[in-house]
Amino acid sequence: MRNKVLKMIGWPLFLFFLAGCWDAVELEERGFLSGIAVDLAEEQGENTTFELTQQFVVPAGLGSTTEAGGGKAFRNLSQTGESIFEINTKIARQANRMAGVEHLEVVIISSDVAEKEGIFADIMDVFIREQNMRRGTFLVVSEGKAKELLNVEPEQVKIPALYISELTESKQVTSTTEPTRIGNIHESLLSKRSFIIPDLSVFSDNSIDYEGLGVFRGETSQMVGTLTGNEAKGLNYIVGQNQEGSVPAKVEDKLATFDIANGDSTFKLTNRDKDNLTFQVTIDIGAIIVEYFGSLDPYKKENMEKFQKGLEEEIKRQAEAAIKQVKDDYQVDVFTFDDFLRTDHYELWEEIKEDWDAGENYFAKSDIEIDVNVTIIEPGNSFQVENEGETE
Amino acid sequence: MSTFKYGDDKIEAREIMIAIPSMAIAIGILTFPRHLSDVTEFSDGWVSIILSGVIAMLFAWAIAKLASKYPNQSFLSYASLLVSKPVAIVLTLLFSIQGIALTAFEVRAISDISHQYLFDKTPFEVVGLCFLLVVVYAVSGSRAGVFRLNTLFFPIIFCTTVILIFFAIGYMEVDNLLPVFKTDMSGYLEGTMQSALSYTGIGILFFYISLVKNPKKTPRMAAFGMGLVVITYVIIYLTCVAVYGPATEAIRFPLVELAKEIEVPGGFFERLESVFFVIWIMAIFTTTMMAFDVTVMALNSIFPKTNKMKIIFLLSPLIYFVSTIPSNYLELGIFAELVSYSGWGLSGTVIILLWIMHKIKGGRKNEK
Repeated sequence: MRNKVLKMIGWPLFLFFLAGCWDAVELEERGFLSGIAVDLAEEQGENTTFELTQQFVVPAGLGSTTEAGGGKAFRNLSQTGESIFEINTKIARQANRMAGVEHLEVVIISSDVAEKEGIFADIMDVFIREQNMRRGTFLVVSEGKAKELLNVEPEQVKIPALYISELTESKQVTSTTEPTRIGNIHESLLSKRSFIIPDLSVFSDNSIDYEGLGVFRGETSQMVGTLTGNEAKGLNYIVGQNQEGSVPAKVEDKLATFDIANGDSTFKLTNRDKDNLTFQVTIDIGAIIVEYFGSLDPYKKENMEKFQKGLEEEIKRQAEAAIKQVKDDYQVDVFTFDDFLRTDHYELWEEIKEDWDAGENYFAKSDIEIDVNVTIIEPGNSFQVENEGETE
Repeated sequence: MSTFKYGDDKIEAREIMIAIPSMAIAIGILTFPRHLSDVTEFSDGWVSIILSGVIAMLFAWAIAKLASKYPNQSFLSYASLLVSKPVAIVLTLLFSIQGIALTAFEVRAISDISHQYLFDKTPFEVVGLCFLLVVVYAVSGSRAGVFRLNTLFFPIIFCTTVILIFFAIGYMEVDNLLPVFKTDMSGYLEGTMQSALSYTGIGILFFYISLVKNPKKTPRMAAFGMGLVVITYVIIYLTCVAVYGPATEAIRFPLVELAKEIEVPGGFFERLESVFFVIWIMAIFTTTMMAFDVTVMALNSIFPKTNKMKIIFLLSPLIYFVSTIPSNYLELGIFAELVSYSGWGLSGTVIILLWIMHKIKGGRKNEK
């Protein structure tokens, strides 16, 4: 009997240990960080001083699926300091909730910071090292102040950081690239490979413009410039990624716009002399005619060839514009020729990898030849809208 | 404490096949891509995994073959037959010390990893204690129950790993794997040594074969079970390298990061690592459980009159104490290497010794 009573009192006591709530943080006490912006502070100290802006999600502003929330759905807090994590603790003094980076969508680095030599890799360190950071977080560069981007309030997305991450993911324009994830940057930094990061700027109060691509030198992990418009498109044609999008081209002096449905590119090394490397880039494009101001009948073979030729010339022009800017001005290899050499010409690569796009810079000395093959896949729903000359 | 009694305490040869991967897959699976890619170039590490895997399979086969020649005899009894009783007792004691060290290491490692990723405020001693208590509970039951738990967990661990790799496909870059065969000979050798560390606990076969009802098929099953581990390791290694490329050697727990990085398309699930953590803890649990159980079994064979529970309750504080000895991650790494190398060294020496003795004197007596 006594035993039974002991059990009745004793066992429930264990319940207290069952919960094991050492690390428990109630949902109401958690603050979800959705975006982080890194700027240079106005006042500079001995070392580079940063201004860090964190965007917290305000769940009340989000509302639920049936009920729209009222008010702003985010809250931005800023502080300055020399180490990112230290600033984070400073911000914690302002925030009433415990900041969690588990759902961090995007990190924005202002171009001022990115252009300073040697700073970029140092900033990246905390985003790669800290335990709760995910390697899938997106990274973008901003023209102007990075924290301004976190203030842009679009109508359909309640949280600016979410808007930015969706913007970098949408693939409609040829001049953009795949979203850059922090994990990718880690790999590039480790192997001192040059890389590109989406470059955004504030367009108006409620929209952000995907300007182009920020070009980073791997050796110094420093932003050397941006590629916009045709140069960015040319880069994508050469790399063979993200080529889908529209291209206007001249076909016998009349404007025709093509929608690129698929594309690919292949590299070939035609001259192995390391001071005079020559790459042969073949770009294969499949396109659809979507708009045309002339009256050529694309069902005729010779006319189709005219369309093809028009588009080939346009793509070649853009690719060469990209080569000119990347190879001659920036002198950093973001065309992924380094990957190509490593995978296909390993002995040569071992010999030159230290001086690839730094030091001797064999990349800048190389020649790149462009060869474009276009296939017109479809002429469009109705292939002739206006008739010129004789009527049948 | 009353435990459920199974009809008999015998197992099938198939359960040995499952026990091998359950034992071999432990902490090593989370870290080996880092060590391996450190010493080999690009994706070449798979050669090392297969090399060390084939060695591990050979050992597993040899141990099972020898043990199955003495069906239903404990290690102590057939070892005494071959190398005299005192030597057999020393060997059994060595195996128990190795088992204690391995159990302690797994307890410590799992609490360290949970400390890094799951509970950053809970002291690792508390996590370790809780984990050890569950292990004690599992071990104090029937031995056949341990094997049934393995059989229950193994498909879950295996399937989840496959799912993880499936989701990772979208993050792979083939360029990261190329070019192939650029590592030099010493790199392969070092890689083989490194990956061999992840094939822990072949030694359990010395003891568990005696439980098998009809051990004829066990050598084949044991080698096959090891083969499963080799395949899993190769796939995981290639996945990590394809996803991380040059960063593989800089990431502390590549497989955990892999789970953190992937997102199920559609944005419905973002943080999958919590699910995978459960699974890996299961994998590490089965290893710890068997390491402990073999230790208890070994000691029980030396002291047959002592109650099993007494041994467990004496060992548990000792294991807990050993697990708290390493004071930081560097010492834990040294501990890991000690445990793995001693496991290989002990199993290797013992099997070679026993086979030689078996050929010299046991052969004629037992094989008719």
